[in-house]
Amino acid sequence: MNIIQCEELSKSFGRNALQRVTCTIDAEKIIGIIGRNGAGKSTLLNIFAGYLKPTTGSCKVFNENPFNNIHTAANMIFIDDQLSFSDYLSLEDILKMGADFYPNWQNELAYRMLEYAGIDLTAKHQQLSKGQLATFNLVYGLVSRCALTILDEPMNGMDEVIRTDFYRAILKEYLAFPRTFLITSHHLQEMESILEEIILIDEGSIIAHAPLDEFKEQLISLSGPSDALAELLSETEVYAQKIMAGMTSAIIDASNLFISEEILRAKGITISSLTASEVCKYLTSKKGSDIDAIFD
Amino acid sequence: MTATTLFFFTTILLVIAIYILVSKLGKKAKNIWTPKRIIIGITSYIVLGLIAFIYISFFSESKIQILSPSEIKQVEKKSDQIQKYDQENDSSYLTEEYKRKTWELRYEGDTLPVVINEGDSGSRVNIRVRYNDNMESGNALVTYYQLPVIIEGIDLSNEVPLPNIYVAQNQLFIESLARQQVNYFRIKATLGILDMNRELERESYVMSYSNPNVIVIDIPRSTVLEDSQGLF
Amino acid sequence: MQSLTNISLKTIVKKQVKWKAKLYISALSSLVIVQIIFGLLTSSAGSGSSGYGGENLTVHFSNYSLDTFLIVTAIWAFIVALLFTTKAYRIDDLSVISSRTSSAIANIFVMIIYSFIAVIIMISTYYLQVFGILLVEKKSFIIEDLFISPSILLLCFSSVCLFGAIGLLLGTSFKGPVVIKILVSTLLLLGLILFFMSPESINVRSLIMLSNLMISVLYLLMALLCFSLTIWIADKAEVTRK
Repeated sequence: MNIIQCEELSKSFGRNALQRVTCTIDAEKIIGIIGRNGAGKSTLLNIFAGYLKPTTGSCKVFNENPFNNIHTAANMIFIDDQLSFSDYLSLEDILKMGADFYPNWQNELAYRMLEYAGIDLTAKHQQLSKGQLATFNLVYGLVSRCALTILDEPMNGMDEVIRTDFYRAILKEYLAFPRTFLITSHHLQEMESILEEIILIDEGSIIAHAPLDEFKEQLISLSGPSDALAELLSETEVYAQKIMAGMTSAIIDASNLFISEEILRAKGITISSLTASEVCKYLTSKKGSDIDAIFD
Repeated sequence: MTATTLFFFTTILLVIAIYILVSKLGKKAKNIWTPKRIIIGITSYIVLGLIAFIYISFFSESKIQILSPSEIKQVEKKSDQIQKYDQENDSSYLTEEYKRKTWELRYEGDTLPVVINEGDSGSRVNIRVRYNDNMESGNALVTYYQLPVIIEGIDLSNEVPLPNIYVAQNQLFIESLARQQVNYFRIKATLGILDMNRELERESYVMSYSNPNVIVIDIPRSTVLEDSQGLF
Repeated sequence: MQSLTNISLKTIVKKQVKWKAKLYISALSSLVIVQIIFGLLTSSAGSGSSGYGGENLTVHFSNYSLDTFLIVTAIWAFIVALLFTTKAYRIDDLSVISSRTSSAIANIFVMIIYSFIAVIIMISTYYLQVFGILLVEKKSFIIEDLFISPSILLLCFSSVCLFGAIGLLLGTSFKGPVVIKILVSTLLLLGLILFFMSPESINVRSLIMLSNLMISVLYLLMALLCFSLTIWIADKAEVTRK
């Protein structure tokens, strides 16, 4: 069943942040929202959260318009690094406040997680370091057990050890209380293990929305002798190409490959699959452009 | 209008300035002042105010009487009567009630020059002369009468300074003292602006007679008062 | 699929009011300090003075009434209401279950509650000031009215409430849709021009001539209008944390 439905959703703040986004998001999934900086991820999430209003098009969360909707707000939580609380509240008070508002709040779990992370509950939110802040905010989001949990770059500032721990924490919480997680991150490789689906956004549009495996299989890497590949590459769209000492390696769209693997191997061309983050990189980078070119 | 506007603006700026100052200091004090303590502080402040109110209402008695509108009306009625007598030059209205001070003075001879020094008070001295057959020559009786002066509901006749009356070099000197300043603190638990504009009768009520203070000089018939200044 | 939580707007507003009334308390503590300062400033001259000169007597009255404190409290209410609509407070609202509407309604209730407490603080400051005067001046004081009449109390409350309502409305308008921002700025500018160019056109006289109760009712109605507009505008407002 669908938790979010967008139809031709556009948002502009002078510049076009989102352009005619259409998508549906199923309930009870962990979905990664990936994209470059400024692609429009946060804008889309803000619209889902009911903070922003679409300029044109429609958006339905829990079958209702989420903008300024108390029913949406009751089942949604938006966690990012700007999450703030009154400076009269200690962390413990913040947890009490959360418990007062969110009906599914797990206070005990919060205490245990924060103790594990070594965060002092008598401290104030403003006094935490960047990593501790991210940890606390994430715990706040997990423990609220909202049907739609939006985490906007939740691991920003956390050290590697605690990041790994909390990816596991997200998964474990998800298993204990299934809900829809929308997570954005710049560390896709780390996150891959817990994601079920990926939505790739570039320049305000969704360019890919698929389960993780399908997504990874979108592009493949071919490497082999340049002359052998040249013919092949001329027929399909090439995402990236590197030529070195007579050997070419290129990234192409897998669906455009009509030749079987054996034939390719016979020609000396090897096929390798890409990681999800590599797929993202190639799908979103401008075709043909390359950082090395700037320095040449 | 400009004065009020200026007042408003200065108040607004002052309040904003104090507020900013307090918030800046408050930021540092956030650790000491938790909401609970602040609530206790505010409650104590209110209780203090209540105690102050109770103390004032029970233990403070103002010795100064404010005349009620009905009392003022009575005084007004009297004033009309007095004005009538005044015009007829009848001093019978100058009763004991209004007598403030009497001077018994002695002088030589039958002629008594009167020197009146009004000083810079700007008020006129009102002098009546009564010839008394029962008085011996060389004696004069000067009496000072003060009629009620009601300013903003209070009878301030007791505060009007007495003139200085004496005989020197065989002349009768009547000197008005310099202006006296009296300060009062009026406590009125209401909004002054409203009352001022609604012009409640009592507020701006100033009542004084045209001749609120009278000096009567009783002299024997044989004496002649010389009035070189032509004041009476 | 887990069933969705169904919370009514009323419940959320109640919770928000409960937390906001506690967390915004520094507004009231700053009022106390501002009042104490003004109480001390006006302790010698009072909130007004009048004088009379004539005969040999110059009389000077220092009047101690509620005026200064009411003006200070009303200005405080306006400033505080404006502050309630600033970014820091708004994004704090996003950390719990809330919508712009629920936050606006909660702010309104908090403003009303604080106005009520502010009037009580105002009265306490007044009596403390009078108490101070009476301790110092043992003789020349005149007690004309010691008890504040209920109609004056109501008038004070409605004035403070009105200023708070205007502050909330102004603050919310500037965070609302662009159309409203422009409209409010224009109206404000026109109002200021009118105020300075022809103050006579604003008929304050006739307002003051009404009874205290009538003025209070008028102020409360205007405050209600401001509150309604605030909710209406907040309903359309977008918010972002960044």
